[in-house]
Amino acid sequence: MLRLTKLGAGYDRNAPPVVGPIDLDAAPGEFICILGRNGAGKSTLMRTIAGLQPAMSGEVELDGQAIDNMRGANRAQLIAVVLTERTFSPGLRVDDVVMLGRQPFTGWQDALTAEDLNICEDALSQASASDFRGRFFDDLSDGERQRVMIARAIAQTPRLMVLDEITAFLDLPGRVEVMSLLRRQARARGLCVLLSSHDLDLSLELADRIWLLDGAGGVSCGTPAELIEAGAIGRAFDTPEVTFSSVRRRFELAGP
Amino acid sequence: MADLTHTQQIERVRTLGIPVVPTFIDAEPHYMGRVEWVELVGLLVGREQEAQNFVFDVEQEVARLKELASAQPRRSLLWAWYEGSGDRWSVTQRNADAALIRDANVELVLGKEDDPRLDTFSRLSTEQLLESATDADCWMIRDPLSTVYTRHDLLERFKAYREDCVFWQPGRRHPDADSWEVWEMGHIRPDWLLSDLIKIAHPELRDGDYRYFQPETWEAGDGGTGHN
Amino acid sequence: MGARVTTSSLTLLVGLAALSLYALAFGQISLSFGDALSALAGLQGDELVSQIVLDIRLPRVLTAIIAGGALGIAGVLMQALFRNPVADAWSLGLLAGGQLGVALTVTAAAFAGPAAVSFLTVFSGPSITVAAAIGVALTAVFMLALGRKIGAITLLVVGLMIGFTAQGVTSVLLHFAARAGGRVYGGWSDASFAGVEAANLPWLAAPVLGGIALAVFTAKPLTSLLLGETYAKSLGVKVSSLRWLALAATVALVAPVVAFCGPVSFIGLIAPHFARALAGSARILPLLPLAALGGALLALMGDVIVHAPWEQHFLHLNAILAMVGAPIVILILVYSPTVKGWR
Repeated sequence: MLRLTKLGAGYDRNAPPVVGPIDLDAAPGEFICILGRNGAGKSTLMRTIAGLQPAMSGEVELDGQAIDNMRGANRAQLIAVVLTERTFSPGLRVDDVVMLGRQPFTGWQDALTAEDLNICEDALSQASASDFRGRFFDDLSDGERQRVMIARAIAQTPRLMVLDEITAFLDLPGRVEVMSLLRRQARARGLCVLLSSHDLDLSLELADRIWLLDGAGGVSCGTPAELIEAGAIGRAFDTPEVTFSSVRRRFELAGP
Repeated sequence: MADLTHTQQIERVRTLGIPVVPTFIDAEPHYMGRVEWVELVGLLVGREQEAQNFVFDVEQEVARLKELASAQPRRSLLWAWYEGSGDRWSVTQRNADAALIRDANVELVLGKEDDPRLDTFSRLSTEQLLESATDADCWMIRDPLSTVYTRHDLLERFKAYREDCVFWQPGRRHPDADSWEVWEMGHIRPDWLLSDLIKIAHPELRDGDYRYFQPETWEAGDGGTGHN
Repeated sequence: MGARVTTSSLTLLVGLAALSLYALAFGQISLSFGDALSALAGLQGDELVSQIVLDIRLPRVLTAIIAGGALGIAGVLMQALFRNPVADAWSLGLLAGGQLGVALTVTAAAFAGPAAVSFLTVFSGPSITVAAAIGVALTAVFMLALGRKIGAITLLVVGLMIGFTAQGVTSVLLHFAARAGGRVYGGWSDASFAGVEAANLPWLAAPVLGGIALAVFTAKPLTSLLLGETYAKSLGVKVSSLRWLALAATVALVAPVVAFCGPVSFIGLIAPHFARALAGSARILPLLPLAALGGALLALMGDVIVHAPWEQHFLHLNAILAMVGAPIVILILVYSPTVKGWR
């Protein structure tokens, strides 16, 4: 469904790409976690896949269509994005935020049909965010806010959901809830979910597949078990102080 | 010292070692009172006789002009300067300025009882002029600092406008001194002002020669500068 | 939500109509509602009454409504464009920039000679609007660039400072322009709705209508901009062209108001907050009628107070607006959840 062909992602055409060139694909219903150390290019790769910045080389295809060639509104009908940045928004209510998810489908007046409203309501309940209705978006806690943003992404009824480090501000139960919610959505709706995360343990636990950025532009792809087996996690994350134990599936302090 | 509100400064100036003789010229209830201050100045600079002669001459001339005007039929005059903001007017109503206008054998339209605690003018609106001043024979409509009033549809209601008896006060500008003569000499030469006023109010006395006033041109600009 | 907007709009409309009728009937001279209505219908026998209602008060009331409405809508646009709940044409210095544009034009004309001055006087409507538009647009572009560097509240402070600076320069310029014979506009540092005669109303209304059309047209993408640039982009919005369109709408709405009414304070800042509270939403399109009607109502209230029959006194419009507006802004800054993220 999602296919990256010789994709190079970065900011400077004259320099080598931050990530790539890589060839990868993802199937409907797959929940993929993108892992890598800070600066490895997770956000750059995700922004490129979401069409928020042009590819340096190669291309991203969704259902056979090149993303760079899509018109903005068409792309928005297929790809939903959730970011880590805290957004403050003058006066937006939770309902307004979720309704924004329907914007790629509405006319110039942005009038919502009964069906649009049903989709929004359903999305809110899927994300367990129905209780927040009517409240100011800025009034919510970080976790509540992320739920609403995920509800907005669900309301967008996308084929591909791209979520960049959205669990960063959440506590452990919050992270588990959000990630299993996304996994359920991928399964139930047959959509492809790409989530970048620092949360190695949970990602290895919940992801169908991992895209592991090695920090030098390369990406290893596989199921969590395959990557651990191959020692790829350790190669990407180990430092002189900590090393990843393939046996215990967690980091350990190095040396005596 | 222009008026009594400036008295606090007297002590401060004295503490600087400067002798102070207060001259509250703007507080004079009558326009001739302003002229008499010239005698004090004459006394101070040792030209007492000259000053007395000056005051006497002005008094004589004012008396002559009053006499001249009283022989004419009584006319009415509106003295309202356009302040801007669409509908604000400074309307001269009382005290020394009103007295001078009345001495031109003129009924001051919208005039009020003298009251030394109040300014000579009040701020009124176009509506109030429309209600009470449309019958004035003549109209003094702006001073050197007013903008031109261009609502000709409303002006049409005023007799003074229809009969082309609207004047303004260019006041003889002296750009080199950044001053207007009417606000300097005008204070001690009520005879000059009265002479202009009489010509404005009484068409029979007009000779086309005005010192401080001109027929309204309805155009911006200061209407010529000081020419002595 | 739609019902809420409709009910609120109708309520505001009725209030505005009632207040307009009051403003037509009562002023320095008290008429009656019957007099005002018959004058409006063209059935007034007393020519003076009819002239006061139709030639003096009606243009003023229409000016207040158009200007207040324009500022309210511009406030909604600017608060979305700057993602700043205290942004408005006045608070970010756009009005003062527009004034400065006019002052520069008048001064240039004054020093160029009487022909230039009389040209300005004759074509005062269009030429001062264009001059104001240039000033407003340049200030807006500058503030947008600055807005990317500094926070919302800092931007507010900077905007007010720029306003003071521009007004100071304007005052000095007009002083010298007057000395040079360019006394085209007087008493202009205060705002007033009374200076627009009926013949100039189209010059005020036409750009404002254009601005409203643009505002309606940009309402949908602007709503997504409330979430920030990246989200707007992810929802298919071309952010840079949206910025220019919203900016053009703001200039079209604000420039004629500065040109004809001076720096009308606070209305554009407050009206969007009322509109959002009434709508229970921040979606731009439903806010537009509410902010327009709310802004018009605020403007007309200010004008009615200014023109109440105080004997021999004139209150200043901006003094009234500040007395009402400044405490409301303080309440917004301290308590409103819409400013929470910026506090």
